[in-house]
Amino acid sequence: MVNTNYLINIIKYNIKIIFNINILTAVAMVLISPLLFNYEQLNYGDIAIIGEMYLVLLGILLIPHLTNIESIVGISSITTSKAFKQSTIYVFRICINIIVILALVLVTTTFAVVQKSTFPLIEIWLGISISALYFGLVGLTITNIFSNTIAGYLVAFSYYMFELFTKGKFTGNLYALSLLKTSFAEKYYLLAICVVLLCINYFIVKKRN
Amino acid sequence: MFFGLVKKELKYQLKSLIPYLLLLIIFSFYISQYGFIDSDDINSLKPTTEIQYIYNYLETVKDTGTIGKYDGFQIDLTNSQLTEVNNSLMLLDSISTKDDYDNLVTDSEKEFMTILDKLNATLGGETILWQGSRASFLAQALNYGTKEMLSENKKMLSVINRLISDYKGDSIYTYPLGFVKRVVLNDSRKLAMKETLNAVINNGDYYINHSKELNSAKIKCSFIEFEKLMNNLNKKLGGGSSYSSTHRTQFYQEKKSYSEAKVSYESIKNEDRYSNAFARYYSDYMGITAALFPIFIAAFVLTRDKRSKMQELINSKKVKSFVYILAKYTAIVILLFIIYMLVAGIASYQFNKIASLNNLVIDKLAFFTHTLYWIMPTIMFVVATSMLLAMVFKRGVIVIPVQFLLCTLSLLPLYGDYRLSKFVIRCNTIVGFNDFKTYSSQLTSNRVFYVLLSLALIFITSLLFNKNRSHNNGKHKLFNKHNKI
Repeated sequence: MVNTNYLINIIKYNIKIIFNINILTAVAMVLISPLLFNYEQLNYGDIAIIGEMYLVLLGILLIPHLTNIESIVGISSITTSKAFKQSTIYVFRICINIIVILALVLVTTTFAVVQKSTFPLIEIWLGISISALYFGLVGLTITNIFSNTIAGYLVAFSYYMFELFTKGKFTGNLYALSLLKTSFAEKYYLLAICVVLLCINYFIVKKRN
Repeated sequence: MFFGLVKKELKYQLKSLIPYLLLLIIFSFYISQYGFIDSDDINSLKPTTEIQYIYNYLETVKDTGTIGKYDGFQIDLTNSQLTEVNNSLMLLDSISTKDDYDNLVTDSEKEFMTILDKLNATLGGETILWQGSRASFLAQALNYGTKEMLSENKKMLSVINRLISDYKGDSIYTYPLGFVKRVVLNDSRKLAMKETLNAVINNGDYYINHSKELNSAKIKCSFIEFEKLMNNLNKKLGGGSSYSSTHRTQFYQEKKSYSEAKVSYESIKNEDRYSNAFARYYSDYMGITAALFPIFIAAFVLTRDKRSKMQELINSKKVKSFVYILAKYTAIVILLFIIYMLVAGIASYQFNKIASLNNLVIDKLAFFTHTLYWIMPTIMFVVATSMLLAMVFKRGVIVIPVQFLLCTLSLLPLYGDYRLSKFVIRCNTIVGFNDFKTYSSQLTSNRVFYVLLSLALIFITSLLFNKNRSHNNGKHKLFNKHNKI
């Protein structure tokens, strides 16, 4: 049975290391968004542009690096030798950052609603969050496969640019920015892929450790 | 020492995964945006006439037995209807002659339209040749391109037409910082628009509900005053609107005529030898990748020393800070140069194949020269900025959103703005040299500016590196003053 105090200390410490420059940059991105966009009286199409073209970058900032933090500071051999499973810690980190993504997107969309915008809040909130999570998990998968965080950022960001410029021509039902076409149906497929990617990443880190 | 460091950095990068991923990504971007260019794209540059286009279309109708309907569906034709189509083709032949481009031309426009009206009536009256849909059907095919209006009055009326159209709506879209921003037209903004309208034309209020009569409106200010009024209006609308000096030039464009389109085509054929026009279009897409993807190598090259705990060792060496930073910078730029030249080689090979199939005389080095002249200064600037920002923030990941925001400032307009504020060169259309040469000197100044700016940024980066580098246990560090053991 795991010592509760030990578990709490691990959680506290991981929260401390997660709230790093990546989260600060993500928060800064959300805070400066009113300078870049106008949130007054937006309709579905307008908020979709803000969410799908800008807010989805939060996923790329917040997720790909989560399993490589120990490698960056060079203590991965020490942490993997501990009894407490590293894979559990990674799941915890990913959950925290998913909550951060959901919170940041909710704050932005609620701000728009307060500014008299008219759009389905839940649909937009979930749609943007799913896209952000999807890009983040693609980056995380690449990071875990190649043990290279930069590769994770690069592939995730390139995929985002690819979708932005091709407008779903090559990805069809898996178009990650589908809210730009006022369609939510593709988000269900993306959510399913996110679950699959989470499982794949869990098995990769479990096997590696 | 310098060349040794460059060689070492190149060797390190070539052993890493990132350059190969970058090559794959840039190649994918090339294929998705440009890679499907084929003979049809080259042949479609040759202008055609309305009558020739209709003639070709009716020949297809004769072969397939179907004709398009005005709503997009197809109609199957009976034998008697096909005979009528054939008769119409003979009539079109009789009223026209071939010009030097082998296109049918006619002096009797009225007769041409009568033939189409009669044929449409015979085929049921709902075909694509119907008067109501004919114009849009022909417009899709007969895009001769645009040219700048010569008349200042016409330019002003074109902008005023847009102003009236925006005034009637609830909001407008602006691009103050590259991203699209919706601006709600409240009372004060609408008042500003109305005041501007009345300052430009007599009895402006009347034309708000009678915009079709705008061509008869009397302009009551000079063009210079008009530009000042529009700049003021742009400020009141928050900046980046259609009335800004950058964006209102889109309204100064009018369609070219067939003869003007022929002149442009001759320029593409003789001056550009086709490949230079396509190389400009290619450089537009590749320029966007050059503004974004090199960040992932450049932003992490200096932070790597800290990650691998070699920082203190490097700081203790005799190598000068400027030599060290310049060596890293040169290695990254050379690596990216190789990557972009490889993709230019693929583009060149593809275009050569198309040219051989069509017996065209082309400039075989066009893609390489445009990569060197158009894209490399962008790469140099992006790498230098990324290294500087990584040095300032001590984290490579912050550079990504910052550079992304910088890039969005340069992405618009799609053509024709090469001021010093634009580090991405856009040319999102295939234009001939005779149309593009007006921008040549502006483009040259832009490229030279960004090369020099890149070197200045690298110099600043080396100064910062030198300040952080300490010979006295961290005392002189600008950032990260507290040594952590």
